[in-house]
Amino acid sequence: MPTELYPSALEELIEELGRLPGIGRKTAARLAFYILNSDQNEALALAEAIIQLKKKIQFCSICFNISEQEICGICRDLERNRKQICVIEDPGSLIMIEKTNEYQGLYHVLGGVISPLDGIGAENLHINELIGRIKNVEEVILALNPSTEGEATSIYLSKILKPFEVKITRLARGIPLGSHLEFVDELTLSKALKSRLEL
Amino acid sequence: MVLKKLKLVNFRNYVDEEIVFNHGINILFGQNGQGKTNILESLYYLGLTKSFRTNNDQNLILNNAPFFRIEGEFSTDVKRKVVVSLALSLSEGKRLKVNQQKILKFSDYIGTVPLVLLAPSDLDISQGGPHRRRQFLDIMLSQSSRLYLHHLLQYRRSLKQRNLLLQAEGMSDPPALEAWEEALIQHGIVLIEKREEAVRQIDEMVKTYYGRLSGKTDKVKIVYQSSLNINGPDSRPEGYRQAMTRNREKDRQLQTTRVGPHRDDMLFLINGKPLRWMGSQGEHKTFIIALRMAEYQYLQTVRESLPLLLFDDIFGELDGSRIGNMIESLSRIGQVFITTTSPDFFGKVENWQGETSFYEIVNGKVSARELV
Ligand SMILES: [Zn+2]
Repeated sequence: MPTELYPSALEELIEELGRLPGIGRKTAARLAFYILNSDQNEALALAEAIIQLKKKIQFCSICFNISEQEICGICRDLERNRKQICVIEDPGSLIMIEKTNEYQGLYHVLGGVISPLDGIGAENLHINELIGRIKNVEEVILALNPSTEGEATSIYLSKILKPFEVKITRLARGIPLGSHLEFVDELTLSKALKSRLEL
Repeated sequence: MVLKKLKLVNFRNYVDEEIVFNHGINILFGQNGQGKTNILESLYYLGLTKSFRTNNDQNLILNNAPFFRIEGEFSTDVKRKVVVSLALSLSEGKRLKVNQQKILKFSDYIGTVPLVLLAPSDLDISQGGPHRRRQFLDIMLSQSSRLYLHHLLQYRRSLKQRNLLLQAEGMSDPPALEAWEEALIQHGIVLIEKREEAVRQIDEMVKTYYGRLSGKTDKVKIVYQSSLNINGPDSRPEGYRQAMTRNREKDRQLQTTRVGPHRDDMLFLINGKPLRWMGSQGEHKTFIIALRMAEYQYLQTVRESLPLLLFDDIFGELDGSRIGNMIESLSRIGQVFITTTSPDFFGKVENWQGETSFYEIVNGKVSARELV
């Protein structure tokens, strides 16, 4: 497709916005024109929010959760169970698990999953840092997304954590609460059957 | 499933065409190059979101148009109305809607409009290499089970990941390779087991159909051939794992994964001899028709819904009594679409009493015709 030629300042913004996940050139252009047409203060507020985000928010030096300080609130919280580490892909998963109020242990954010097709190898994730934390830990809970890459990364982690003699568990895959079996898709049902529990 | 109405916009040589179809047999006739097969292609695309004639979807868009759209209005066996709309635009890609609802994962949709296509190129299934035979099984099983399609997609993705690791120089991280091997084993075993089970079932059906179609006593047989050579289901994960480990060095040299369901095959036998090498042209033809009819019966049984049956120009070389046999054989026949250059041919079909409708196709225009 031919590249449309806009004035360079506009073209630059379109290119930058187009780098964001899930945004194609068309959407990027629409957003750029919206910003161009918005009033000065609105545009400045957006730019300022982005600058402040990068200034104030950093990644926790222990667990790589997002944090306003060098060490995040969860890692600093002495009430939490330091014998358990829950491994997740991104901070978004952490927020979901925290919302359940069911988990009192610590976290470790990998920062993605292994995917050679996307150029992501184990060395691009916070795996060595996880190994560095494992000494005094009793249980590592793998809570990665059930994608092909998430599953393979779980297998990878269980292999390299094996020598440390730590208990490794993973989330069970189950049937959504409140749903009738008839309406659960066969894939979920088959996985739930495989990870069934003894009563 | 019954297709009531088909609308084509900018698809191949159809600018904007709406066709009303009937139960039973729909015969699409006309000279070559007028667009008969394009209609079957649009139906196939609607059911499987892919063409059987090209891998480049953009070839399907009418010259210089920015998009194409196929819309089918179906009536299910319980008389529910289902409207499927599938569009491809140059700027926004492929978009699928079922009853106005946007479908994001196409794999959740496959099987909604089950179908079986019999086309002249099908002879490659029995005469060509193993790829078309695996494809036959994969398409049939993907239409019959969402679970199969899920494992197939996961398997293919894991295979790409492992092959990429094998190709990466100096990437000698065994746990990473092992992680993808475990994924391959997990999904691969499901594929092998489902395929073996399906082959056992269609083997019986093909035997029956072949006998009926040929009127001879020749014995045909289908055997699934796994590249893994593992005996018995109990030893499966372990045997598979050992095979992967054993092959790792060689795989690394060749930079590809050499065993697994993506290298498996089906062996077709006639009177104990391989059909691929020993069969006559007539035997191949009869076998392929029997195989497609078995596919139809298999889908009908597992989905409890009648697939659409598409015949692309295969009757030129068959005699009327054989086609009569064939159609009679499909015990509960649903809706059939047939392309042909000679519509009067169907006057010769014996044993056929079902409803038949005729459509004449001239240069991308379709008109219903009464045949005298
Ligand atoms: Zn932290």
